[in-house]
Amino acid sequence: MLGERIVFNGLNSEKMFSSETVPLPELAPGEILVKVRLASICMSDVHTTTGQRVEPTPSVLGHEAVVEVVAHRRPESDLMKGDRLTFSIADSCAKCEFCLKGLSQKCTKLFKYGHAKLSDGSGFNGCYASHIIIRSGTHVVKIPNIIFDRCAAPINCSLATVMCAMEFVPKIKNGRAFVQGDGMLGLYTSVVLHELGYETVYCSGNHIQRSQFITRFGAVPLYNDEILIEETNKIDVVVEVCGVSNVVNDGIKLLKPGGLYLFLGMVHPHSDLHITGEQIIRKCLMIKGIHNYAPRHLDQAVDFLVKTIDKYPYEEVVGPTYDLSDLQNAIKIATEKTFARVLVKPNMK
Amino acid sequence: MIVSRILIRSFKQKYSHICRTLCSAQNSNATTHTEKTYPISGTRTVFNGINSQTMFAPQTALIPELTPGEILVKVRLASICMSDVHTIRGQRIEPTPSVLGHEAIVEVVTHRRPESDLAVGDRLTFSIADSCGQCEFCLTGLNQKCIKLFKYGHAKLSDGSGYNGCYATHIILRRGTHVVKIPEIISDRCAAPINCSLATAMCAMEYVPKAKNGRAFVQGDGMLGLYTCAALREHGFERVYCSGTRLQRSKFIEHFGGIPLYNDEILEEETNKIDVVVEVCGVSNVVNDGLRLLKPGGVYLFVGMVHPHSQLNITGEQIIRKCLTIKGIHNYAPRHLDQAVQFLEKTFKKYPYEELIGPTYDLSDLSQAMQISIEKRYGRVLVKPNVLTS
Repeated sequence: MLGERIVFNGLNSEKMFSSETVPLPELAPGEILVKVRLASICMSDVHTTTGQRVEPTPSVLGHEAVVEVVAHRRPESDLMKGDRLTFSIADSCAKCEFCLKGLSQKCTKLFKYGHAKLSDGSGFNGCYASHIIIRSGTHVVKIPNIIFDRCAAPINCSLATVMCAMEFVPKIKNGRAFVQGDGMLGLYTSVVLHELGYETVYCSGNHIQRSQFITRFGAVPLYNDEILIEETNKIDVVVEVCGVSNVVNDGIKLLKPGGLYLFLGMVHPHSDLHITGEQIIRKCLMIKGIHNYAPRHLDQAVDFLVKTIDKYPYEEVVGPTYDLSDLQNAIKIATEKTFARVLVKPNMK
Repeated sequence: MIVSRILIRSFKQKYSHICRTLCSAQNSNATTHTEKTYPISGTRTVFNGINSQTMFAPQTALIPELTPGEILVKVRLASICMSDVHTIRGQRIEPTPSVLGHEAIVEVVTHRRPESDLAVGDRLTFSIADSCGQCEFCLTGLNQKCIKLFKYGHAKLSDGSGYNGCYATHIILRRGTHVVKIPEIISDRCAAPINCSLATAMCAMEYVPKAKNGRAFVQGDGMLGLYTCAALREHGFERVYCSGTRLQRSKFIEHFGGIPLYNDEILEEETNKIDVVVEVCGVSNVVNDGLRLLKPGGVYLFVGMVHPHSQLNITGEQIIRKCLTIKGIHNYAPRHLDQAVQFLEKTFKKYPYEELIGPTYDLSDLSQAMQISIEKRYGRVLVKPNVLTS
């Protein structure tokens, strides 16, 4: 059987993306051969193609997708051909100290789809392809019929990461939260906080056109610095999901004593913090860094989406679908940030 | 003689209150909470600010009558916390005029807490934070951020009774102040630093996970650093490194269960291997080391940097990629004072707490005592007031 993949050759190569059709390797025990139904473009891939992030090359990018079982070697599972799945972007060993304490994303033998060299493993390692070979240490979750492909694609990076962040958020009576960022992460975070029972969730960002989505995801759009001043020292939880470090001073000002700051977006070196130890100490603040997630968060993401799929306009924040061969163009549209997500669908031969 | 001693002991166990009254002949300051020998005078050393003619001026003043819930205590022994040193050096600003000093072991003179089991002569430690018990912060166990917070040693003379700090003969403990009796086994010298340094370390420990074969790194070899070493060891941490600037402290570090670190090499070996780092030195440039040493999922406690010159030179990426937790610890809540006393009682014979404590100066010699404190030769320098009425 043949599979197609779009190889990323690096920023400075003659052809940044080149298409390749090669035979799919045989499955090893524990592996699953899936075809990609629909992939979505995560902002981190955009950063890789603009040079703000460096990933090994040559590689197949793309780590968000809803996939379908073609064949598998997990006899102990209840997987069937045709099952729609989401899968953990982290392949982990389950035995090291990090896996054992629930921090699988920092496994000593970590492998990440969409972040691995072509020569690592099967080479069908990323979602901008017709197929992926899911490795034996990868957690998978079936997607119920009620969730369509367009809403399922971003589960395994964006939504699962938000579930991981939520693990640290206390249930607070009349809680107030402030989400810094109105991308996919920001919208998911707003809706999850809202469902968690937070009374007021502010969400700020750069895309004023997102404000109607923010409202429909249960949050108060914030494009107005005045409201910020009123809430000084009154916010229980601030969540940074925009990748920009200069919002952190605002966040610290807003937090009440004992408050929690979650850092999710600043996964790049240009994230200098201009804060003092005193600010953190005097308010007894907690800052928690969230990078990726563990298998349980993928389960929680699917459960959350099933529970709330009819309640929020998840479909509407997802943009157009491009053919796999149009990847470069799709990434360009994603860069413009008109949509929370841009989709990529491989032609099936 | 033996029979009367047994009788007195059994009386003490059942009727401690009455017993102390019977024994009060030896201590003419003793009163029951229903008898008063007002007016009483006390002496306090008033801090007038670093730019004033007399930075410290002793003042004798009448001690006001107690209101409900208050406790009049005499100061048995006070200790000088580094934050007071910073105040007199201008690195911290406190309201003036005020009575500084917030660490002390005190003794009950009289009280208006009839529901308590307090007795005249009881040795007590007390929470530096007087709190309301009802606001959202008190109700979530963050009493040190009470909306009506009052802090001994940090309040203006005109706030409340004016007997608000430990550099004095007496303190009037307000009704929102948690107190804990000091068991006999604990000497005054070791008891004095409980209610700032040790209680704060207990608060920090609340955020330390139990880690199998845990490794910790304590950045600072002052009182906070040594207490934290002992507490981490007692918590089950297998290896506790402790670094600081005073090589002469290295033997103390060892006595308190730590591995003295004055050698950058060991730092390299432990990169990404440390479960918990605790900053207790007040210096922000140690934070980059701490972040490097922490393993993914690790915890960084910030305790010392309670001043504006604590710029951090770190990135959000460093915190995110290792999924780190940073927790700021400022003061503590009432439960941590209980835990501090219990901890000290349990480990009193195990660690050489006495050896950390330096000389005692008379209250009238406060300036000199501060000077010695600045030199940081000892974990703590003590101050003992002469009691006027005796």
